[in-house]
Amino acid sequence: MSTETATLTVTRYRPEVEDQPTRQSYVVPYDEDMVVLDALNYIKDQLDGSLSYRWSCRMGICGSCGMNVNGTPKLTCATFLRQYQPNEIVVEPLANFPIIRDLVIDLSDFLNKLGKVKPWLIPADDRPLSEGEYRQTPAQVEDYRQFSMCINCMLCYAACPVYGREPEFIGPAALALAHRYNMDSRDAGRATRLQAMAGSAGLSECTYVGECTVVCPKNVDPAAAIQRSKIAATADWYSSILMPWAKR
Amino acid sequence: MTVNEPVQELKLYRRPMPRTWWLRNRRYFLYMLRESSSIFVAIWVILLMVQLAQLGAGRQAYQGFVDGFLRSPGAILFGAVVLAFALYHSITWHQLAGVVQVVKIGDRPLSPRQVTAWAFAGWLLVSVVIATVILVV
Repeated sequence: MSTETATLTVTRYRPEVEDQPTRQSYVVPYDEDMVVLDALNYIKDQLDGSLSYRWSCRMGICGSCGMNVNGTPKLTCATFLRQYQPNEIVVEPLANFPIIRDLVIDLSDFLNKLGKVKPWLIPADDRPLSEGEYRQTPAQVEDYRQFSMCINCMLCYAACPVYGREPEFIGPAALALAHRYNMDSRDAGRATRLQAMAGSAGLSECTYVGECTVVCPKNVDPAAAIQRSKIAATADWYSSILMPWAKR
Repeated sequence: MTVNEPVQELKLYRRPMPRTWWLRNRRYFLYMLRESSSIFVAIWVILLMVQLAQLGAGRQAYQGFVDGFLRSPGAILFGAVVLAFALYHSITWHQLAGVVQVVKIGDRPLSPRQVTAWAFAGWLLVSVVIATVILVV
């Protein structure tokens, strides 16, 4: 390892001793292969064992290590120090979420909203197992595949100014997942999900800032999912007015 | 018990969102520009309605409005600003439409670039037809 160093300025919040967050700087050995999470692990192991943050897989799958790095929501396991070197790297908890401790945010709000959009298959009728699997063509899978890649990392919520200003907004990831199931040929739960999606905290809150799509590490494109759901919900509404007898 | 209700009372810290959030990066700023374009277009539409009312009030009133207001440097400058905003709004609209509107030929969806290209082609065609009607017919 070279003798070069990197400086990380990290948000600290210890609710038992302070009323609001402060910042603390750490100097860590720098290597061009190091990601921000490696630097945090070095701090935790070698410099300050009291620093709290979430991580698990360190390979962009688990979605736990999301933080704001120099103001932008990032998966810290996929964000290299070399992008910022030799400048200071500011690591903050994901924006728009309440802080529990240091870099750890409270996810309860999202988890409650996620349940409301019923992100699971709701088939039209329950078939017995003996009838076999629900089959799909590759083209039918393509209709929703992109939106099924979400790892619930919350970067999109941290990037969304609408969620920042209107915390009741269901938000990008949950709405994208709702769209994912609505687009699934095996699913018949669109009308059920619409209650949450079409409410005042749902689709209409989104004004297409588009930053959720920019920061998404899995190319889910929540912004497109929301606008497509808006079109579908609007078409449903018109057809219910113009053709009330039609089956929805 | 709802999902994830904390076992113990947490002393959460909620960060206030600054009013200047839209200055934080270029894309937020461009978004605000795109959204605010509607204000300028709305003012222009109100002026257009005033112009129509003047037209209804007779030749003299209309000529007075044109000479007294529309030909003034301020009105011309405002018109140029509105045009720039309207173009920016229309261009970004078509760019986003390519991502939002799924157009399928058979089973295969067109790429967002293709949808946007068709949208621009349609816009150009409609503009040429309108220009022809106004300028030639």
